[in-house]
Amino acid sequence: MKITDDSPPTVSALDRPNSYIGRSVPRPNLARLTHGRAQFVSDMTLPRMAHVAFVRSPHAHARIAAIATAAACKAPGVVAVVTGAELAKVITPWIGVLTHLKGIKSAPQHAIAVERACWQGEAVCAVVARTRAEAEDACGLVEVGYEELPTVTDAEPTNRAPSSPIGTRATRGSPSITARRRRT
Amino acid sequence: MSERFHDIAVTVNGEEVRERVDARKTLVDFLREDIALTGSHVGCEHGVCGACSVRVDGVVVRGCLMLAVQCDGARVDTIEGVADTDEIADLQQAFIARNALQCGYCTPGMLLTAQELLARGGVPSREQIRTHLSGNYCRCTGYQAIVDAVEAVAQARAGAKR
Repeated sequence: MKITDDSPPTVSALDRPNSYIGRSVPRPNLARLTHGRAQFVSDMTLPRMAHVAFVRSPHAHARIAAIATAAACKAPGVVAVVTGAELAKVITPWIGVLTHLKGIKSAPQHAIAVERACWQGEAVCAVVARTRAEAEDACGLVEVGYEELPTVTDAEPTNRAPSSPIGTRATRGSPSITARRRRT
Repeated sequence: MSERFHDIAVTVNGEEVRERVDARKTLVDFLREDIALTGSHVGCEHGVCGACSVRVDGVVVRGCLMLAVQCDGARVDTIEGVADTDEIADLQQAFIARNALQCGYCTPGMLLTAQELLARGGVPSREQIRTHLSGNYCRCTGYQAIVDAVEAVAQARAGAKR
């Protein structure tokens, strides 16, 4: 039996196993994606899976005075109706920081708005139901009492007094933004 | 008083399907939820993004703007059905070879819409390709590779016919 040596005569860095340099490497999952047979998160269905829809603030800045959820709780298919205040008992807010600039931090970001909505579209109440349609139907039954607050619609701190909404609440303790205010 | 639920009979990818649907249910939600054909995607739900594109009676339409009840008696072809017939095999291959998809969310709609253009015959210009695909949004690729793929397939098909 003759043993043939079929290794290449010279071995370069490109011959290393798993070297992608200089190679055109097609992705293995493109076949499924082009056949519509891939699985995105929204394509997944699990047994007894529920769906969530959110009631969102139509105001850019408003105090949330009251949320009436009784009607939504009784709507067909509804599993739970959760306000920001209820969720805050089990989820702590997130505060963004920069590790390379000590002291800079964001205002606390709640999963669902607690006392006030700070942007148009911010979620103020979550409705969980058996189907997405039922969740959205029940969202329409949630009544939120808003008290509109002044809005900030430009990014220039020079245009605002130190006592403006953003100046006093959101950026306390943030050195770079404080420094900008001192210069003006 | 009109009824809320209706019985419909739709031929989906060649298979007759009989279901009872809510009058307000959109075609794409019907396909995704009731028939489990999740290849057609929901993007904007108001007809601008093209991710929901499906064929109804041979014409590419917005699945999010049609109701399931409107398709009673109609023939619906989704990306899964069209892909199974090899009608767009060269288009799919060109998309793969030219990396005309990244996340793949827009791709089913993109393929069906491109095939609609190419089925007319001839070799459309890049401008014509872009105009025809202007109703299909892609957030990943920047469209260049998609136009490349469609143009290449148009040329190949025209060449094969000669």
